[in-house]
Amino acid sequence: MRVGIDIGGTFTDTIIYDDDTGKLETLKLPTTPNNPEKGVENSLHKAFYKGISPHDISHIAHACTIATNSIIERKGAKVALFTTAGFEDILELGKMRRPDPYDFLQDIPQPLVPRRLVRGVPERVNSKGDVVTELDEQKTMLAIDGLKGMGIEAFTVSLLFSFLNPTHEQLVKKLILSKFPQAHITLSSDLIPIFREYERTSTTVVNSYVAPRVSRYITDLERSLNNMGIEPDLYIMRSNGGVMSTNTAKTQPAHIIESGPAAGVIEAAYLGSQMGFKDIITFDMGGTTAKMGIIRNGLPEITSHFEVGAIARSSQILTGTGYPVMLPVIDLCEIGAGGGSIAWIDSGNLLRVGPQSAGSDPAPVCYGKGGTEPTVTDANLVLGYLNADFFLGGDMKLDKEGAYSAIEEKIANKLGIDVIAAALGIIEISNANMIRGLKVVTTSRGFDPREFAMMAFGGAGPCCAAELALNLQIPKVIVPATASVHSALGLLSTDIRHDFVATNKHLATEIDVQEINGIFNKFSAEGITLLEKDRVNIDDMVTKRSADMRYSGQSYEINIPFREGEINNERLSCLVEDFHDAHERIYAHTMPGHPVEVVALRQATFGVSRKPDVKIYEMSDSDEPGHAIKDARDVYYSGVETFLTSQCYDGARLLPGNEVSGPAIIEMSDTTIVIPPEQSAKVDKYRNIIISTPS
Amino acid sequence: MAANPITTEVLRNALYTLAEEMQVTLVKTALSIIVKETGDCSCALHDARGNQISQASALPMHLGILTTAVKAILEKYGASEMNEGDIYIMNGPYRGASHLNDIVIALPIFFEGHLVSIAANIAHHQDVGGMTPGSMPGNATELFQEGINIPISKLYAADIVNETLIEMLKANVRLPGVLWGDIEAQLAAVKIGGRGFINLVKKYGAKTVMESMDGLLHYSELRTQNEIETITNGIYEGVAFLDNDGITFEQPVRLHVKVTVDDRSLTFDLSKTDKQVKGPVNMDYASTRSSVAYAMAGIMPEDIPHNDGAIAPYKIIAPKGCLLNPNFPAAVNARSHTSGALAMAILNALSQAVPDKVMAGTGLGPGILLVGGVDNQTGKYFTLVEGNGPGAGARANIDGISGKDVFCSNTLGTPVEAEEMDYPVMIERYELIKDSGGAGKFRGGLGVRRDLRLLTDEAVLTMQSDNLINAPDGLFGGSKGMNGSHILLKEKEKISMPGKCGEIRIQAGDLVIRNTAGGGGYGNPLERDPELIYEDVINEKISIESARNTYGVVIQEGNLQVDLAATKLLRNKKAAKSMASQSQAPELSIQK
Repeated sequence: MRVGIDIGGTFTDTIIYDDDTGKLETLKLPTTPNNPEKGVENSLHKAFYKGISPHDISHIAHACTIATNSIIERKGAKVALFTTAGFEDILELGKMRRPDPYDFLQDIPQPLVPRRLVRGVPERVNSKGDVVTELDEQKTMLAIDGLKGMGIEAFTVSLLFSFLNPTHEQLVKKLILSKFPQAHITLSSDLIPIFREYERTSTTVVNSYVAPRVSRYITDLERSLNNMGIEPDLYIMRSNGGVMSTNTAKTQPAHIIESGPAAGVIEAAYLGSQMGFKDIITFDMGGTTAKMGIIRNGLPEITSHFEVGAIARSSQILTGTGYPVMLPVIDLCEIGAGGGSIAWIDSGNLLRVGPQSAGSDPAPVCYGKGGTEPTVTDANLVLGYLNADFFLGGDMKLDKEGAYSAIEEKIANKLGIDVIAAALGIIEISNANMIRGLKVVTTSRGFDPREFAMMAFGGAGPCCAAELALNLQIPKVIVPATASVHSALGLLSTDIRHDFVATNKHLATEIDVQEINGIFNKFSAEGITLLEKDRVNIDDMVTKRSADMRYSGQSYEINIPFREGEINNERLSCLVEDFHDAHERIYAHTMPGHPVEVVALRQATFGVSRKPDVKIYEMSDSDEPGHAIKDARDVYYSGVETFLTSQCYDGARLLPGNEVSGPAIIEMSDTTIVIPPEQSAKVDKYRNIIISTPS
Repeated sequence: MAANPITTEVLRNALYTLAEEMQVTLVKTALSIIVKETGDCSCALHDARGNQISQASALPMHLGILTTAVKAILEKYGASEMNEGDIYIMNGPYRGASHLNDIVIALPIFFEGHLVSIAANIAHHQDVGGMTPGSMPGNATELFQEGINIPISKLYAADIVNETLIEMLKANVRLPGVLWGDIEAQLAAVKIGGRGFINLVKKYGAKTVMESMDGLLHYSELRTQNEIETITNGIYEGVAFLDNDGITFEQPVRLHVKVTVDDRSLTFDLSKTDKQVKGPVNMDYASTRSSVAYAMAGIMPEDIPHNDGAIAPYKIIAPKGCLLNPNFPAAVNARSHTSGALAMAILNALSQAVPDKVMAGTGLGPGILLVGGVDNQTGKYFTLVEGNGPGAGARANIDGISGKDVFCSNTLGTPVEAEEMDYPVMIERYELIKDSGGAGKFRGGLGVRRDLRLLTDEAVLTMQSDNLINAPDGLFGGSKGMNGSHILLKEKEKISMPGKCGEIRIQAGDLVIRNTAGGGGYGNPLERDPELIYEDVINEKISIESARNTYGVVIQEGNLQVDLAATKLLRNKKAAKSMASQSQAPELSIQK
């Protein structure tokens, strides 16, 4: 049996899947923030109670927030950083730009390594990779000696141009080990051999900063699994959508920063491919944030520009407020707005939604937990989208009158409009925020949303998804049947993935095919070694190669995959052709005669895992959904300007093949799907609900 | 009819998203380092009268700067003379734009035959000709030395491109390929804006969109007026200085502002600022307006949309012929420091009215260095432009930030590795300067040292920095920051260079050492928490000597412990000595 365990902020979700019978067991228990492995233990004990034997568990894939939390809570390790002498202030100098130029009172994030723990070593490699100043070993030893007794838990070495010539970094490592034999040391040339010294150093420091805590956590987890009699292959989810062995996770934990969100996108990609959708926009909206991602041709979009711990404003991440991590991560746009976002009237008499959120405390007014400020969820209730008596499957009763009077008092009266218009305004503005995020991942990157399906999950996503799809003319919205444990399920659909990168700057016309094949062959050899350690069969290994390219003189690159087959001159000219096409798609112009450069070569090596079969249900004889009707209620839709009586369906009783025409509401145990007039929904053979948008 | 408060908010989001899409397109497609790596460009959408409605959060220096340019285009051609498929080009300080490097591209947007909006952008071009590579000669005395001057023209007339104009432009610059590559990026961006705007009009209807654009202008105006109302009425005066004009080195340039707060409006009277000068630090009116808008945007709440409505309550008096509104053909290329100085004068004035919303004296920056020549490895001509951030002034409750581009340009630094891979130079040092931040209860940010060595036979060096003579001021008892310096280290001599200089020939092996100024302190240094002083010492921000001599905190050599008893004595003594000893040494908060 294989198990997926996803530790989120509120719940620890567990999926247990039997490859032989196809049986799927799901568990949802509270997260135990102080020692998260306890929550895992609790979940497994509950599984044993349900009759699963520890010996049957052969494989566990795990997503956790421990690395990210170490940074957000500033509870990482005491790290010492070695730089080239003269560049000790690299972390504080950053990129010279202030995050918000219009805020005179803003501060910048404090470096993860304070200046007093930074040591500059005399040495220099030039831009050709040649040593122009030998490393001064004596001075380096003195610097290392000076760190004795300071309680250093991890070391980072990041020297200029080490991506071209790592010998000095390796020498510093050797010297550190001679004094600190047990030290956890990360070399920038090992972790991320790519140019731009600030970003490379920051990434390497993040790795050192989270390593001891992640390492301890994984060790504790392994121990408690062993104590329970489970000796599985344990894998940790990476930010790039693959999984890695625990040993790699302990040495390169910077790769697991975006562990949780990655799993959700992977599941969307897998489920989508089963359903025949290859191009998908993922839309995950919860109480305080919403995350949007892109899957193209079955593969999630990956970026190497990411900041951990950055501040999310209502409509965007404020770059420069976090710590850059230049490792491949599933590209998500995160915005600080969700169901709990508070609506208010500003001093210019405009209705605003967010960035303040009521969160889970004091929570939306309708939760009756003492919240007094109207939220998006309150507006959803007033407009009839939510059912006061069937929230979280009826576990929680909502206070509709409270929501109504909060909107009346705080919004409607101040604007001199009626309560319904105010509630609708809240939803439309919240939707405008969501549309902005969706545009960031689509139109801003040259993708036409009309060519995508949208997969909506998270508690608040399915409520507004159909309306958003109408706005952006996205033809289909998929609400997965397993929406509530979507991310945990993704853990079982993911492949083992190792990424390799080498900076290799050449004009495309001057590339030596032999040289780059040499580099890729080296990646493949390393990949095979790593995957063999992961006990992957050679037949299950797949490689994908790509190049970071740009027009000569540009400083942003586009990642272009090599076409299938051996790399030769013909493939190279295809690569350049594909680069021009991608440039046209993303930036609306090309420069045909202009020299093209390859800046870096990348390879992803996958150990393809067996995917859980998605359960197929028998199609119902009839598309008639009448048997699942619970009742009818009045619902107010955007653009209709009156309440419409809408049938309300019990999602659990809808059968594959049933069709529901809008206006209608489908209530699931953990989310509510709103189907506006002129849109309709169909239950597919997997019990996913697919909403169609009229074109 | 008044705009609907809900649709207006929805369209505010949509128009801002659109301006951002334009900005992403421009930055990503451009070719030059200055646009791509440093982001020296801005995109905006305007209404049919030329008012700016929505600007991408880009370069503060460009805040509202496109308005005067777009209005000038409208004045020359008029809506009735514009056609679908026209795209306009211009630059120049005396026709509504800014220094010649900044080229404006504008696309009128038509719906059912009517002009509904104008999508425009401005980008700093790496070289527009003139007397020095990079077109920013610190010793220019007239506009003609600064590059090619482009009258308001149709680059495209009804989709037909003006090839002659393009040839003319390319023939007058050092890097024609880069110039045209960046103009193409600007064209791509305005087209994205045009397409997106038409989609909005189709969705919401032209009338609603127009009403909401008006609504957004009124909204920003109202919000700004509401904020002004919270400031006590009165007249507040402030000054700031530039070291000199780049020509007459011994003569500082003085900026003066008289801010009158009158209920719901603000007047910025710049009449007592110096007359226009010979050197290139004069500032065109568009940039003056932009600098006022910027200084105020930093004081106003961050969520007021940056459009022309937000600027409407500000009245600017800048007499013709003054430094901040010069007469043709005064040189203006180095106006970025003047812009910072104007912002600083305004903060200086308003520190009396809103002391907790301002910064103390802040380095005018970034310090710009240009190196141009032939790389003898490749045989090709190169132009390197590089910024270096100064220290910012301290605030009422926080230290100043160090080594950042603080004022109106907010550019990105160039990575050392990127620079060395592309140019024949080596950066040998890039670090903060200890003790350069002005002392205060809150300390000014530190200045930065960046050393560049030339690796090719010969090149021409141009520098533009300020605060080499006048260091940034402290506020409310805080001290000045340390001033910056420019040193050229040749094999056998050490030459001290002025803040603004051009046409300096340098040879292989020469080292250019640039130090930027530190920011001013805020409040009495004797009131600084000894715990913070201790942190400053161990983190190399200040020396032990400075802790003792300036802050009165005694830190023992060797074990670096704070000697509390000695500190108390020393601080009492210093406080008593202080002529303006209105405050006693504070209770020591450190417990060890």
